[in-house]
Order: sequence, then structure tokens, then C-alpha cells
Amino acid sequence: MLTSKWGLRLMSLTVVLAAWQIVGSRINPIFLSTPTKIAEAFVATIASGELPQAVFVSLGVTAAGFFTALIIGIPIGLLMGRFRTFEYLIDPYVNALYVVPRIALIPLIIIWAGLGVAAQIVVVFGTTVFPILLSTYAGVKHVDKRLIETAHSFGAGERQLFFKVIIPASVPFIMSGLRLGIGQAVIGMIVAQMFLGIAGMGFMLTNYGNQFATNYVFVVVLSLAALGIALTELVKFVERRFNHWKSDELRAI
Amino acid sequence: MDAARLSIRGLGKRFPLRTGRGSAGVVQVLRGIDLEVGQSEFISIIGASGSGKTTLLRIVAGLDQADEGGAYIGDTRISGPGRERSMVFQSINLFPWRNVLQNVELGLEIRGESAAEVRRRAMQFVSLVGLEQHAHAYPHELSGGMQQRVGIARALATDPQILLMDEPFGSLDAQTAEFLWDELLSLVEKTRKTVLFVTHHIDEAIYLSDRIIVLGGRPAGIIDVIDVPFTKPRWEYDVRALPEFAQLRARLRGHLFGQRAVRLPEVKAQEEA
Repeated sequence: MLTSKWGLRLMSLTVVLAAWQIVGSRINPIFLSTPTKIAEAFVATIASGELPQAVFVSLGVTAAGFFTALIIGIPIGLLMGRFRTFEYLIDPYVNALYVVPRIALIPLIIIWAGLGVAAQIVVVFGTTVFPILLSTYAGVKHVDKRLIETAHSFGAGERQLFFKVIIPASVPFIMSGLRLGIGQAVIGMIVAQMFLGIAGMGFMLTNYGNQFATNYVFVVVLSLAALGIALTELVKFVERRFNHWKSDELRAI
Repeated sequence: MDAARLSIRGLGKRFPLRTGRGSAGVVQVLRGIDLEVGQSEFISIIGASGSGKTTLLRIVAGLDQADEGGAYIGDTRISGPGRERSMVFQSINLFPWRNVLQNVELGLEIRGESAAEVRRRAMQFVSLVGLEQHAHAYPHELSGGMQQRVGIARALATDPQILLMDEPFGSLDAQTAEFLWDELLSLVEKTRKTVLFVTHHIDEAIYLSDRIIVLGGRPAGIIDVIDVPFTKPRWEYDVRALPEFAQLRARLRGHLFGQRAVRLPEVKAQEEA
């Protein structure tokens, strides 16, 4: 039993949690807190409705930023990949914005969009759009030229090439862009709410951090981990539905 | 019934030649190709690698442009793909995200047929190549031979008068390829297509063709035209056992590999039993 992977994981968790409990209860609670204190804080924030409320707000911001990034990033990536002229017109901005740390833009975003939810969505959009856009672009660049030629040999025009070859052939790349993007979206959401929020999980983090309520900070961190895993699994599920035609070797991409 | 007669007149093709330092020259690949293709005729184009046979086929397909002369349908010079022609590729080029049926539908969709007509014709041609059991399989689930049958069905489904085939069996193992020879001959006979077939496989060219065009020289031109005398259908007897087959093979080997290749071996006197 102990050699099964879940047995090993359970054993590892038990040992670490027990050690944490013992060490944590002997030192200043601000420093580490303890698993039991964290559990108490977890129950308290759920009972008061604070945590569910914050998760709700954060999910809303994440989803809004993510879908905006998807709606804008995929078409720009497709056009940049397919049309040289468009690529050279746009790529200076894409490259410049990509290398600038998004946090550096927060003062500008505050000036333009204020301190509310809109500004948070802009930040999430900013962190999410690049992995989506660049993966889509790479997808178009990797389309098998022979498939384009095959469609062309049947008389396909540019529009048909786009919808029958370029887009479906890019789907695996777009999907991995979305998978990278959702992780970035969660990071963007937390950063945005730490700087700009008066609600949400990022705000909870800053708020409890300022009060040195370490067990409450851990509640938010662990909830974020769960949220990140859940969202990534959701995107992976969608990805699998789009990749059903792939052989196992191709699936590794 | 139709006027889609294919002819090639004075066709020449040059390619830009890039050397290491970027200075560009031009290399003439094909020069002065003339060919009249008969209705429902099966013509093979054979030649050593680099003789420009695929280039010639691509120009007829409208995927490349001739620099001199050109290929004509009737009196219209070919400048792009057209309804009366379909191409079968050596690399097969099935769309991996489409199943067999959807792959065969591709050309019909592009030509803007109604959804019902697309489905009906695709199904008909999937059955014609014997893949109705696999209509919903994806390309990666099929063997190479089955994949190329899909490629052939895709090309036939749009009902072209002329089928252009670029070493279609070149990527398959020898047994599968030979099996597909008979299948192709029977399909072509049923559908009465004109076929232009590029190959470097001598037996394949003789087995399939009514006429064989041999490309050679630099730049390449037509160095021999061989009428293949065997009656069809050829799968009903073993064409390759005929002495004429061996003679044609020797003639083609001479063109492709030089005269040394066709010298007959001295038959040694039989050792006493």
C-alpha cells in the first residue's frame, strides 16, 4: 500500500503537516501559523461569507480579462501569422509590450482606468493576451505548407484557406496558448487586486498581510492554488475535446 | 462530350539559383516540352531524380507557372488550379483533424456544393475506394495504403476530367503499391479519367500506362515516348511475365541508368546435372 503513488503522497503530506503543527505552535504565530489555525480561519471566512464573496469577485475579474484576451489575442495572432504586412505593422508593439513587466504598467492603468474592477480586468487582459496571441501566431507559422497547397489545388481562395486550413491547423497551438493564458490570468488577477482592489482574493491577501494574520493569508494562498488547478483542468478538458483527432505522438505537443 | 483536352506546348521552366553569398543565377530545368494528351489516356512521366517531372506536373496542376510556353486546357493556358483537374500528392496530405469522409469532402466544400451533395458524393467515393468501414476513422488510424486511397477518393470526388498524380505510391511499401496499381487502373477505367502520372518506378510506369514520356538531359526535355501495347484490363493476366515487358523495362532502364544497365548477362552453359 505504501508503495502506491497516492499512499506516498498521503504519507508525505501527513509528515509535513504534523511537523508544521509542532514547529508552528512553538514559535511566534505570525511567522508560520499552524495547520489547525489555518483550518479555523478557513471555516471562519467561509461562515462569514468573506471567502466565497472574494472568490466570486476574483473569478469574475479573471474570466472577464481572460475572455477579452482570447477575443482580441486569437484574431491578432491569426492575422499576424498569415499576413506579413500586418505582422510588421503590429510586431513592434507586441514585442515591446511583451518584454515590459506588466506590473510596470499599473500606474498608467490607474491613470486611464481608475482603481476599480475595470482596471483589474485591464491588468488581467495584459498578462493573458500575450501567451494567447503568441501561441496563435506560432500555430499559424507552423501550419503544414503542403496542406495549404492541397486546399489551393482544389481552388481554395484566401478566405477558404483561412477557415479550412489555417484556423483548424492552429487549434492545438491556440489551445496551449489558452492553457498558459489561464495561469497568467490568475497571476494578473492577484497582482491587480493587491494593487487596485477593494474586494477579491488579492485584496484579502494584502488586507490580512497588513494585519499579520498569517493563518488567513494561508487560507487565501491555498484557495488560489485550488482555483488555479481547477481552471487549468477546465482548459485542459476543453483542449482534449478539440484534440480528439490527434495520435498519441502528436498529443505531446 | 467534353473539351477539356490537355496539351503542353513549348513548355520551359527556370528556377532562381541561390549561391552561398547570395548572388542569384538562374537554372533552366525544363525546355521545349510538347505533349498532346488524349481523352481517357493514362500517361506516365518518368525520369531520373531532378529531371523536373514533378515540376512539370505542378505546372499542369496550376501550382507553378511556366516561364516559356505552357500547359493548355483546350486553348486556355493554365494559370491556376481548375475544376477539370485534381491532384494526388506523394505526401498524401490528408487533413489530420478531418476523418476519412470529411477529407473526401474537402474539394467538394471548396467548390461550394450544397451540404447534402457534399456528403452524398463523399460517401459514394469513400465506398468506391473500399473504405466505407473506415469513413469515420482519422488519418493517423489508417495504414499508408488506406491513406492514399483517401487521397485518390478526395481527388476523384470533385469529378475532374484529368487526374494528376505525383508519385502517389512512392511513400508506400512495394506490396501495398502493387496492390494499388490494380485498384487505380480499375478506378480510372470505371470513371474514365485522363491521368498524368509522375513516377520514377519503371515497372509501375509500364504496368499502368498507355504511354510513357521519358524526361532527360539538362535542361530536361522529352527524350523518348513509349506506347505501351498491352491490352487492358491488365490485372487479368500477368503483364510482367511477357517478353515485351522486359524489353520495355530494358529500354527505360537504358534511359534512366545508362546503357551499361541494360546489357544482357551471359547465360552460362548449364553445369552437368
